[in-house]
Amino acid sequence: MNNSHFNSLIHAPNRLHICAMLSTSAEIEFKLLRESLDVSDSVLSKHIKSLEEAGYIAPAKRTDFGRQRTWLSLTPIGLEAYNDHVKELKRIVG
Amino acid sequence: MTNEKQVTTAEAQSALESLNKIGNETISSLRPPLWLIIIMSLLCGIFTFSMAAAEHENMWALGIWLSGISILLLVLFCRYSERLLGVKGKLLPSSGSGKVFVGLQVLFFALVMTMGREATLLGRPETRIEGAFPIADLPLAPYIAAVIVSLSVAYLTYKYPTNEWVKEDASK
Repeated sequence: MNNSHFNSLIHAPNRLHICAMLSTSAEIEFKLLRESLDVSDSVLSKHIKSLEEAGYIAPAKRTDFGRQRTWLSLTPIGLEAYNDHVKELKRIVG
Repeated sequence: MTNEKQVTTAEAQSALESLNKIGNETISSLRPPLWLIIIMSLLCGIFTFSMAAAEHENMWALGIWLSGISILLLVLFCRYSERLLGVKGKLLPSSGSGKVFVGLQVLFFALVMTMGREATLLGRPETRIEGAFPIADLPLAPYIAAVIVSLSVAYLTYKYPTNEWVKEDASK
């Protein structure tokens, strides 16, 4: 049975980058993602918002040493969607 | 050649190569510094040696405690420094292959430590069983076990810091 599924929401370059980074770790801070993607806060927020609305990303605001930090993680649905998308890309490549 | 979503093979190939690169970069960012890997592997070697050479209340029994506590503190230090840098690694890998990989590692280290301990016990005059096991005549058993564990820990921590089994090229 082929479970792969092309996901146009994830396939956009920056969103694919976000999902790829989040899939390898439990949580990544907003600031680190922004530096890695080399985009502005607003651009990254927009991508995160669309992934969050789809239920793929769960942001969490926490205070460490008196400084508020936003941590992002992939939800189980997001991880499944990302893995399915990667499978589909591999299927296309053949 | 395009599929129903109008993604060409070249585009898919390029996306996979990019994903592989990003994955490797993120995993590399979770890799502890080399000096920490060396200290960690040496401590694991000392722990294994102490396990094999410990007798009732001899100094190697203390070695088990000291090296064990030191390893735990180093792991906590690594987790804390990752958190400061803005990345939190997973405690267990999410993929099936990663979980199998961790299971095999646990089995391997348990086997080497048990073999090292048993071979050392069989080699002692008071517990020796003549001809029971050829390795019983090997006085270097704790050293060999310690070197195997130490080198394995160094290699695995350097190559697979997140315990995920990573292919060199995801597009293949």
